[in-house]
Amino acid sequence: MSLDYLLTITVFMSVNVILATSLNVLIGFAGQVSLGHAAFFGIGAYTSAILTVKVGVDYWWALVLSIIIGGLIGSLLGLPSLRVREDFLVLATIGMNFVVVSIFNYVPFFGGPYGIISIPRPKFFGHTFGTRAYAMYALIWAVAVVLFVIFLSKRYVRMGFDALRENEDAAESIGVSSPRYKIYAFTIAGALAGLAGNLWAHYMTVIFPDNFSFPVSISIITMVVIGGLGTITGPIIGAVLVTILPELLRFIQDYRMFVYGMIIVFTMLFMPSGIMGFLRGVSNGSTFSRKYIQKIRRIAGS
Amino acid sequence: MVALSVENISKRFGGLQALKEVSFQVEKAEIRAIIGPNGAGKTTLFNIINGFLKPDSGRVLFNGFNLVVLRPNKISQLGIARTFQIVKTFLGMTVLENILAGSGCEIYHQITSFFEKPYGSRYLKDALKIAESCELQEYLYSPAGTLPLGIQRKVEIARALATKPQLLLLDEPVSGLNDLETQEIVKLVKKINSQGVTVIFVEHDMHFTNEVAHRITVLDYGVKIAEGTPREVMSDPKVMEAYLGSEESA
Amino acid sequence: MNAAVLGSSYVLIAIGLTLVYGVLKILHIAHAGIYAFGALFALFLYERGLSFPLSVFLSLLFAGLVGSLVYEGLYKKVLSRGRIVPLVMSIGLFAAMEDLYRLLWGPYKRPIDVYVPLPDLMSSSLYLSSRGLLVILVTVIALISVYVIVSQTKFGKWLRACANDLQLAGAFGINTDRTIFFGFFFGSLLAALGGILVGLYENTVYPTMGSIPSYKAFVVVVLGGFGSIRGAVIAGYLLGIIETFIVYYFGFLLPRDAIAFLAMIVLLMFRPEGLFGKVQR
Repeated sequence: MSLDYLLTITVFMSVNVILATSLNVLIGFAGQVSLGHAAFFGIGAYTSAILTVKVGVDYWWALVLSIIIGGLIGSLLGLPSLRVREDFLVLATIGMNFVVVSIFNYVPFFGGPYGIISIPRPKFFGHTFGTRAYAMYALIWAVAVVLFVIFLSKRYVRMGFDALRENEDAAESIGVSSPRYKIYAFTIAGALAGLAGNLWAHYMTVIFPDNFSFPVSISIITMVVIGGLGTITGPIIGAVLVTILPELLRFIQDYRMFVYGMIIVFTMLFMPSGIMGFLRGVSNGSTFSRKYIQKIRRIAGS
Repeated sequence: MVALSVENISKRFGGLQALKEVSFQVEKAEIRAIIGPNGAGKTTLFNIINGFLKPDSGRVLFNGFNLVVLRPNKISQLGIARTFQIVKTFLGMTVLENILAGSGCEIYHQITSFFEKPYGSRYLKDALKIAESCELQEYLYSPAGTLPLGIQRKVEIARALATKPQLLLLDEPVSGLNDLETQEIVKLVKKINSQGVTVIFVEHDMHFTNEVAHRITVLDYGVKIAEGTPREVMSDPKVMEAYLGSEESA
Repeated sequence: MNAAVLGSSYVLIAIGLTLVYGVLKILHIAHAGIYAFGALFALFLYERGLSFPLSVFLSLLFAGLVGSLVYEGLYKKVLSRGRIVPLVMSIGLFAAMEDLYRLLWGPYKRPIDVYVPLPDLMSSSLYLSSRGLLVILVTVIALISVYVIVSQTKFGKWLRACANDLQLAGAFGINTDRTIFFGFFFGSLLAALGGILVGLYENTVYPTMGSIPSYKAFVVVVLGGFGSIRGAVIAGYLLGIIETFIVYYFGFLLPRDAIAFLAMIVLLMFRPEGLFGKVQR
């Protein structure tokens, strides 16, 4: 196991953590079942790739634009969620994944099935990022994204998402505008996934439409679901597991999809709240720790 | 002073005229009951006031706003809170979280929602106070979904109170409750009203209605057929016919 | 004529999906796996030396069983956990199935070497191969059978009751569990039939052959109005026709598949109940 190999795994893991976390915001927090997440991933990747390769934009600007455009397209693709109920939304999002990949595949501007190559590595003060630097770079972003989500989770926005997820009508009746919050969720998810796409594209230096197809969406869902939907550590655990598993169990490389599929099936059967959900259920009989209750008393008493 | 003015509201669903030119006014700090046999259009009326449904014609005036053109969340922000016929507490969240969710009513549409913390002292104190006045302290940390219906209805009301409403709409607040639980709701509604909140509720339970309501509006087949104090309405022959008549055909 | 064949395949898959969704409100994505199974298993048996009709018959039987087992062993256990869990499970199952087929039967596209004892139909402007004719004939027979079963038999009545209101149907004494079990059986059988027919017509059978037609079948279910069989049938053929013609006139713009999805997305935005569905808030 060379250092290079470990560093590459780190990059993949970081990208996956960001992807899983972003999907978790959409599904776990806001309850919008979106199954085409790889589309946002791809949009971020292609945006950055095209900007740097074909337009000659500097990496750092491309990074900013990947995030912004990811967010914009996220909100656009989120529009169906305003008109369309749960089940329909699932289909619409799967469809969107498909349409987006088709566009990458067939529109010549995006390079068609041969993808885009020679994507440059970022440069910092003249030094191009080698593998080691990039691994650290990706890791920093992963941590930043998680911190961002933790930040959000402590605010009323999270309450809004929770309300929306639990019961849309009741949420409206306490002042939560469901269109607004749905768009919030899609925008955030899209922006973060766009970031992940940028990180991926500039590490791999080549991207193909197939990198963002439905099976990829499936693996992202797997990460969130195994780890625990709605929690913050859940997607992280899921991402780590899904990244490492094929490496640890080398022999399953060939059966990867089969294993993922069965993992999903069994997790749903026996641990539907994911690993985090399972751990939480096991560790405390009462719902909340005394520490939590004391904290509340303290805040309220002051 | 008039809190809510419903003016000539009509609503048709396909071949069915659910509401026809319904008009009435509710005074500030009044408790008004809306009753009528099944299918009279009561919940439809609520859904229209609340913004979940748009009427075919008519207006609903509240604080100078015509609610008919507004979104439900905007109506909530204007000061109208609501509970639902089939209780819609946030089942996966604790009672405390349910109430805290309601406290955020005024900031959800603002940028501050990205910065204000529900577990900040201001919101927390408010929520605890509300929980106390609704006698929900012992359930604070229980997920709403694990609680019996009577408690859940109180939680829904507590959550509605957290939005600091001027007008509270209760859709069948005691439906499915036993006598003891019903009495709790009676106490609660009276307490809320004593603090100046106007209350409009829909109910089938006549004991609850008569005990709590100041005035009653009666609907039958989407039309207002009577209005007045409980005593007046109970002795109104039209009302009796509406109820008895529908029982005959049942 | 291509349109008719295309439409037929969509319809066959869509009926099963409609049944499952109508009753259980689950998006049975794994259905795609059963479609592929039908073709793959039939080919497997045929290559082992069984006669083609027997292979088909056994494959249909097994496919139906597999479908029912998926309900019995999997879906039933997670129905109580909200909508996301069965859905994700279905996706996982589908992914596993496709890969399993790849492992069992190889990833390559294989032909079905069988002679279809039907004539080719030719006229001045239309051409229909013998296999295409078979597809249409069988589909028509299948549709008629479905119609008869659903509208005339007691089982059909039970199915419709369950689709209408599951709890109420149970309250009336209908054995909902058994009804659903057989519903899955027939739906899966139809899907497998679709797989076999398409495999025959296009003369290729491969593990992932289920994905695209099944995504499209979902489009059909949506177009037809989730839960309406009649809608699904009409929508299925409609989609076949639309696709064929759009490809014919605009083929260069976007691939055939993307068109179906765009249509679905657009439709969902403007008429979420589909063409024939009931309006639900």
